[in-house]
This record gives sequence, structure tokens and C-alpha cells, in this order.
Amino acid sequence: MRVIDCKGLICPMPLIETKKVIRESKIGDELLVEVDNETSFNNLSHFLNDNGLTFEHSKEGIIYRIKFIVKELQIKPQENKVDSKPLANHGNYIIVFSSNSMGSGDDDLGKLLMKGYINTIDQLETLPQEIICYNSGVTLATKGSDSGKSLKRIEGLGVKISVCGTCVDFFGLKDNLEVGTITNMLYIAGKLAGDSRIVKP
Amino acid sequence: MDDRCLILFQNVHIVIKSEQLIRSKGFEYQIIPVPSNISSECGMCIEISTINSSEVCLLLDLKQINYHLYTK
Repeated sequence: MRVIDCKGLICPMPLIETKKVIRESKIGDELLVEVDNETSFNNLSHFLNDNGLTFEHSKEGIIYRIKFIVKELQIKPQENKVDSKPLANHGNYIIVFSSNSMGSGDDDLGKLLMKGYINTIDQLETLPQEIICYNSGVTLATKGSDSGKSLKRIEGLGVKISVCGTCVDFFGLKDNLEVGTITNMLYIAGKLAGDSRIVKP
Repeated sequence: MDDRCLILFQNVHIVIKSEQLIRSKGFEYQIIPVPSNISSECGMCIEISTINSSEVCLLLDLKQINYHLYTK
């Protein structure tokens, strides 16, 4: 039995290590993974379940041991870069960024989540028709910012990006926008009242 | 697009701290969810250009931030 010692490694490194060893192993080989944190244990057990690998596990102190036998499994190939993806369909929905933060509670966390969200949009099966930004949502389109570049990429996939003119003025971004067409309240109100679903992260 | 690599962190607080650090030094980066082929539940990570990886790593090392560099 081969032991994969992942003690001291933080999630997701134990999973990466385990996948590597699985690739090197033959069907029928018995593997034992040792981790010392619950997140990594959960991560590994979900991976094994998803791939139809039955496993036994035990816990001793803070050490989790997961034992399983390698069988044929489909480790998903590395995903291709987003920019090589074909153009997706556009769904009947509009994404509204009413602030630069996703959800409420902690502002730093919200801003981080928002960036992660924006960078996930182009992987959706159906893209939005349009993205409308208002209030601090317009700051996401700031020139040179990471989120501005992401929005630019999404625009390149055929998604219209509209920003509130009053808000752009308020934040002093008129000459400092990476992306987006400046619109007014009548336009935004019309869109919000239209037939499209409104998605507000 | 140039070669990109991922920096993975222990928790979201360290991601936020590291993002501020990387941004303050003017490195180009993106916050992305940890790709599902690596993990489905470990939150966000920072994607940078491989060209900058040694400089960014040095920056994180200096601040004694624990991370893992993952090359795609």
C-alpha cells in the first residue's frame, strides 16, 4: 500500500498530490492518504465520491486517513483557457452591478467575491444580454483595474456593458473607464422594467 | 494571452491581504474561483502572469504569507 503523506499541506494541495499519485498508479493499487485538516479531507472525499471511488476513512487526533483502491476513473482534463471557448448563447437576463461588492456583510469579502463572480461570467452556459453598472458598481469598469479588464473581455463576447452617467461623474471616472457605454436613468429604468430577468449579485 | 499561474492560499482572509499587496506593487492579476479541476470548495485564488511569479512570490515571502504556486 502506498502512503501519500499530505500532513502539513493546505487545501487543495492534498487533492493535487493525490490526483498525481492516482495517475501514476495502476488499477488495483491501494492508496492511503493522510491529511491533517478537515477542509482537505472533505475535498478529497468529494473528489473520490464524484469519481465513483469507494473509500474507508478514519480519524486519529487531527489526522484523517483515507484508504481506497485505484480503479478506472475519469480525471477531468485541464480546462481550456477561457479565451479559447466558443461564443456562448445569450440568455434573457441582465446582470446589474449596483455596487462593487457582492452581497452585504463584509466589504473586503464582498469586493473579492465580486471579482471572482465577474471572472466566472464568461464560463456560464448562457451569457447575459447586458451588464448594467450603477452606484459604486461603475468603479468595476475603472481603466487599468483587474475588474475593468475582465469586463472588457466579457464585452468582447458580445455582452453590452452600460454604466450610469451620473455615477461615473460622481466617482470622477469619465476619462478613466476601461469599458462601458455611458447611459442615463431613463435607459436604466427602462431596462429594469423590461422583460429580461434581472440578476443582481 | 501569456502563461498564467495560480496562487492558492489557506483562507479568504489571506487572499484579501495578498490581493492588496499584489495590487499595491502594480502587478497585473485576476481574482478567480479556484478551478474545479483543482478543487470545488476552496474559494478564491489569484491568477498572475508566470513572468511575474518569482517577483510576486518574493513579495509574499517577505510578508511571510503561506501560499502555493500552481502552474497550469
